[in-house]
Amino acid sequence: MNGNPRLVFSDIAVCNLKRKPFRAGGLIFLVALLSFVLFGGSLIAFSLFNGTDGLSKRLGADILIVPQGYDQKVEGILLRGEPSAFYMDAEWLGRIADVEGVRAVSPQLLIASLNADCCSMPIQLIGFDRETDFVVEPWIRTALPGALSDGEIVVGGAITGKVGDRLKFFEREYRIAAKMDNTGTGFDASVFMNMDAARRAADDFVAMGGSLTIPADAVSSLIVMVDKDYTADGVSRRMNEDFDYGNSGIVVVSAKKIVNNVSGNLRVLVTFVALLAALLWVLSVAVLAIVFSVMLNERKREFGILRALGITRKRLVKLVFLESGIVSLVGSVAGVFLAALLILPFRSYIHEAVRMPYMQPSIGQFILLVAASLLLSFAVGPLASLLSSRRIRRGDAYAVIREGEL
Amino acid sequence: MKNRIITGCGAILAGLLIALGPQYLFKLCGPAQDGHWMACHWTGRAEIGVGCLIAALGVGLILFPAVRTRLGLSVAILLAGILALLLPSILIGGCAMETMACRRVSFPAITVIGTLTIVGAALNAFLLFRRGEREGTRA
Repeated sequence: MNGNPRLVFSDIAVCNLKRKPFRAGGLIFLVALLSFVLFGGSLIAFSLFNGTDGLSKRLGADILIVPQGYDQKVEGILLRGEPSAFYMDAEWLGRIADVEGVRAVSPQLLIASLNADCCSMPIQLIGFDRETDFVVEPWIRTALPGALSDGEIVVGGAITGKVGDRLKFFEREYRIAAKMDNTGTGFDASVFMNMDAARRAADDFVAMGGSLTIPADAVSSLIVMVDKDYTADGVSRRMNEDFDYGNSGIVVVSAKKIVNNVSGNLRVLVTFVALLAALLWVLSVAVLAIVFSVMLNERKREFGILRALGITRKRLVKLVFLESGIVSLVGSVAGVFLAALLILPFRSYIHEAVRMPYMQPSIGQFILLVAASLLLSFAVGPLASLLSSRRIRRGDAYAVIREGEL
Repeated sequence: MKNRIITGCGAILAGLLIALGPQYLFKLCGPAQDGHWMACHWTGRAEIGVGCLIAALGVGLILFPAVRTRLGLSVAILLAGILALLLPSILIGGCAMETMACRRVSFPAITVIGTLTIVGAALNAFLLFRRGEREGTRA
């Protein structure tokens, strides 16, 4: 005894756990598994929500017009940044602008780089018209209030490099004029340049033996903003009617539909994760309650002697809660740590695997997630030992020593 | 003896994974189309050295029974683990895009193994320090 009852109690609790290392290890593993699933699942779900939010904010357009057969490719570019290149006649720009309900329309030119000096894989280069653009422009206006010259580019958040650095595409150097924030969408892995620079890059691409012929004055896609008095679905229908859907050579893609598809997939995934976490939580409480109950039976004599030595029932209950608390704390911290260690660095891999917009939470959101996961998984131990503590409260020291009962 | 083998084998495994993983398991990016190697290739080469060092220190953990020596070896593993993390993040780096193989798989794998190495080495050093204190051989 060192005169510090709290210290003695925690020492007893630690010694009890050490005495049965495999049992303590098993319980810690169970709580760690729970907190791993709880935190890991929430972190991934949160990142997907952030990504979907980023997509709907960043998309900006109501309708996208692309050459027929490329509607899936445009999803790949938007959601995952899969480099792609397709072209259609620029005269569609005027025809689409004339459709009733169209408020604004702007062209984009897509080029998949052969390679860059930074990377051994193609990068999506996107040419946009700063005069008419309403998708990229709002995001770079604050970072780049001035003009974007032919030798300058704006890079997505997933491309390493800072403003002023140079990147080479098709043997031509470009200066990074601005860098966008991460959005969790395909834009993060894209490079934006003005339309003239993009046309020059397209020529460079062809000159360097690019596998695709790029028609002069071609555009890859048109982004359309619908007038507030019209609906995107209504305008899409009108376009399909006006341009003989199926034979026009273009396809009208609803941006809302892309976001809705992603949200639908996300809901299924989140429901699955939530169910799994809830099931595991109940299972953990049940298993720990059973184990603590069995432990109590094994330790009847020990508790009886402690009672006979003058330790109150309240203190015995405290001891049981302390042991379960230590198990819960170590397990929760280990589970959250491992989940963070595995999920945070592998964000690009997870993004690619889920094939949906994915953006990890901010520091504030991350701390909240950690706190909530720790709290929920830590609660398992004390909750599980409630039953045992009730039995201790009812017990009698003399009866316990004599009959081995509480 | 049992603890020495467990900690030593753990360090050897971590060292081998750091050294050979980027070359064979979680591979780095290949050369660009013009044949030149990106920064990640050189990070991988440097990790071979750091990984071999960690593995060699792990062998030391098994061979040397003295608490103070093993404490020193554990601290060395911890520092080498930090170096393994710094190579891809600060000292050399990798490709410019997060979607490249090095940033998607190789570097995250090194981060996980390196962090576990650091945590394991720190824990081992702490336990050895306490044991040294108990045995009166203050390290």
